[in-house]
Amino acid sequence: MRSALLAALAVLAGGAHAQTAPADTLRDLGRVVVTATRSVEALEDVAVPTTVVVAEQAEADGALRLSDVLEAIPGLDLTTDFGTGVQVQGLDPAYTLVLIDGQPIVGRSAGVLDLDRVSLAGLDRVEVVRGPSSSLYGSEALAGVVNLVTRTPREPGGRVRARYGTHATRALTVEAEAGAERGDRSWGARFALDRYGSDGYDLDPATLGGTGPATTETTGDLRLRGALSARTDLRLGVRATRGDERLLYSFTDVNGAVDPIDERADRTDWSVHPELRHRLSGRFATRLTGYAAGYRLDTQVYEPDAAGADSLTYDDTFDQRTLSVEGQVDALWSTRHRTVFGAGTARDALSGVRYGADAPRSETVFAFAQHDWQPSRRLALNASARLDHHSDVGARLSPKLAALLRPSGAVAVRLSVGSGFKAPDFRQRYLQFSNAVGGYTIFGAARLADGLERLDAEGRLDAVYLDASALGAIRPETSVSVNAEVEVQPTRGLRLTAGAFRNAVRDLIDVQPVAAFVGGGPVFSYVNLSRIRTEGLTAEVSAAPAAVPGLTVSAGYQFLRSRDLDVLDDLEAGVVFGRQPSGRDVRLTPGDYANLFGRSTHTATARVGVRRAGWTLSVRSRLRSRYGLRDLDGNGLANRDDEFVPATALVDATVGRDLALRGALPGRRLRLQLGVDNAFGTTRPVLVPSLAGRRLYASVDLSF
Amino acid sequence: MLRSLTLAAVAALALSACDSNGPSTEVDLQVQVAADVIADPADGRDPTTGRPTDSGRYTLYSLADNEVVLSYAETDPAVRQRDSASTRWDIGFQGTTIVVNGGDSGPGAGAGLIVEEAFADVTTAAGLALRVDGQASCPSGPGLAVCTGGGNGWYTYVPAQNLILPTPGRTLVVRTADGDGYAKINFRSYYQGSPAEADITPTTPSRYYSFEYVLNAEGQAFVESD
Repeated sequence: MRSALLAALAVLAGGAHAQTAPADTLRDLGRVVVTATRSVEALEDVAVPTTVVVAEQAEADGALRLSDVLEAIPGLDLTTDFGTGVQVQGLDPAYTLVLIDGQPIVGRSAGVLDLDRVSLAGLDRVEVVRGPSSSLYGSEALAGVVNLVTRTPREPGGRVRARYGTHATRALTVEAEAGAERGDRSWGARFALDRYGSDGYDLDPATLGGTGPATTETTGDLRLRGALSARTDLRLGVRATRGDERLLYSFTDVNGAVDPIDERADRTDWSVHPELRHRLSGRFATRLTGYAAGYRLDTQVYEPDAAGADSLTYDDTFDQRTLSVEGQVDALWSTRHRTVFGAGTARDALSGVRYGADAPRSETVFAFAQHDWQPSRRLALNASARLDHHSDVGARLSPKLAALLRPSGAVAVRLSVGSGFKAPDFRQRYLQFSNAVGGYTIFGAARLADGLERLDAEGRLDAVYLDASALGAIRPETSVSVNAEVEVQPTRGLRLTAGAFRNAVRDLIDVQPVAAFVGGGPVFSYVNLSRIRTEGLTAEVSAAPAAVPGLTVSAGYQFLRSRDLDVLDDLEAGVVFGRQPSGRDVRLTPGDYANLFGRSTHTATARVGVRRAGWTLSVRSRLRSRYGLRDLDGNGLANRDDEFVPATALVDATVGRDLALRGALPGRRLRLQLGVDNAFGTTRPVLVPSLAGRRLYASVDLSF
Repeated sequence: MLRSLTLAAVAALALSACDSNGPSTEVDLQVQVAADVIADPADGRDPTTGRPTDSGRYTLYSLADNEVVLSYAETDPAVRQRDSASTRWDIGFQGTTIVVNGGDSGPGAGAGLIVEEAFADVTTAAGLALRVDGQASCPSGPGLAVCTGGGNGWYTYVPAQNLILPTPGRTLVVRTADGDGYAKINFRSYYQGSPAEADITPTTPSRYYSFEYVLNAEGQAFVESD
């Protein structure tokens, strides 16, 4: 228990130098994480549920993108609307903050940050904190935080990895690293260039066009580090990704004609992340961080015109930028008390075809504090709170309290209660868009009053449903959550974890009709609407039996209930019915309602890894019980069998062989890997088109 | 355009709803079916807004005759005036909007109420506070007996698939235009040919009402009394 603050003390005492020392010096204190407390801490001493996947395992499992790492973590489910998102504790992807080295990746579509976009180039580890973390990270960290931590560059070296597989999926990563150490001074630099591409796939060859788009993504990642003195450390991270996506498909129009559609998307995202760390004394360390990032998406759709020539029918641009500065002070008062203070400001701006001429902007000013207190060997308490003032939605205070109990050396109990929030995003506040196909207009909350006034002046409004005083008022979505976890290590090499969680989220923002056009057609806007509750139980086992060196076995399970509380009230009142395919209506009870759409009651993962005599073998399986996909009987919830995607089990496997190159430079290593994703080729072309079939690949990895 | 069907399933429903061996009454409480009542389908798209364009005209329906009294397709103002200002129709449709012949909607004594009960279990209109068009309150839109908007009245809108689906367990009880009879109505589909919901595509023609109903032309009961 005492090790946490001792570790922190070691880091602080050693200053910047210790923080950049080889991981081996800290390994005896256990795996070190940074996300849960915004400061260096041993994983075993963190009081909130945290999972770490290290680069070594990600590579053994053939992971290329951030989504590949997250899909293997128990309790996380990937979603497939608007790219690949992650559902944490049954909450939508919009509520999980995704970071690189502690700073947010920008560029969400409909709230989803596409994790396929994020290359693992330069990865040290991925940390996942489940449960609200707004008390340290502010908006969006309502369900949890995913932090991709890059490896600190230290010494000369290089690496080339190439991979080719089904659907012409190809990846090439080239890494070059340099560095030196002289006394108190050291420096390091690494550049990684990563290119990823796929030709896409077609699950329904009978129809014109494909199912999954052809993509290419090129990522450059630069990490620089310099220890200017024993006390001062300077870092710079620069990352840029250029991606494009193309999908040809067909659309049958109202006249029955089949139109070929050519949809193209071009993405650019970039970030610059300088950081200065300075140790004032053995007790105080400071950190000043700047961050600038941008995301631009251009979407174009071409369809044949009357003459058969390709014509541009849709052209959209979405261009988001963020700039932030923050400072943090870590104060180690004693071996029992540590405080972290921080404050900062962030500015966001957006321009886009759908966002009007006056590009929306917002500014957030924030301050947070966290105190760790270890009253005894068996108890550690962590209290944190953050105050955010957002230019559009005002002030929000997010507190959190966590406790770690160690009744014995083999048992750890983690309890936390906290609140999370998500400020309405630019789309919910500033969108103004008329859909030519759907025949509707939608206004963000801040645009609504003006928009309706304009439509009214043009004589196009028939009726306004909302009270004028309610227009434009939109509050952050907020949650109160509880997490509990018991971890037992009965013997060396065996760990059992059982947990429970509950998230109560209120003021969920949804689209609602607020007015009607003359002659019909709705005007939509964003309104605080529903309350949901997600709750569940988790269990994990991981074993590295001493009897079988190199073998690791792990398995995880999550039981989930996720429900809309208003729907639950209606069910309890007996006013919700289901319509059977025969046409008969049957009254439903709360027992007929297990989950919100897209959530499985049961999910499980299992992994067997073997590393022995130069061979690496890994077999993974993911299972999820059926989940609601759509409403077919008009009651707004999934209750009928044909509204569900059936239970799915997927198996991935990789086998690798390390070869030391004879006569080569010392340290040169060649690793060959063969892998298969979705080994049994499960597909559901109609219900889950994003589920590609079996994919085989081979890769070569040369390090020196 | 309009077909009356007597399906085996409907017959079975009717049998379950009324005791055919019981004492005979003069009113016929059989379940009747109306299929594909066309309610002003979209005739194009507004080139600037993209919204479906339509005529805005109602299709008016007689429950007693189980047929259309005035089609949306009728354009002669004199005919429309004559028919709509009559008590020959009980219920009218335009897009997703339903009107009942009374109040602001017509000269009749009609009124209606969405009852949160399965069709088969609605046994009487007695005791129901039926609402009159123009005098009712609704969460949004005009104060019609049957409120407009998804989830407010007879249907649920499913944005993900852009579907209009009848809300199960919502039975429309109406008083007929003549003020003497009552009917209970169960909406089955908004799409041409009443396809299975999973088979409805963006190209399936919509605004085709199919519904089943029981009409008691002279009273409030929907089941025969023992």
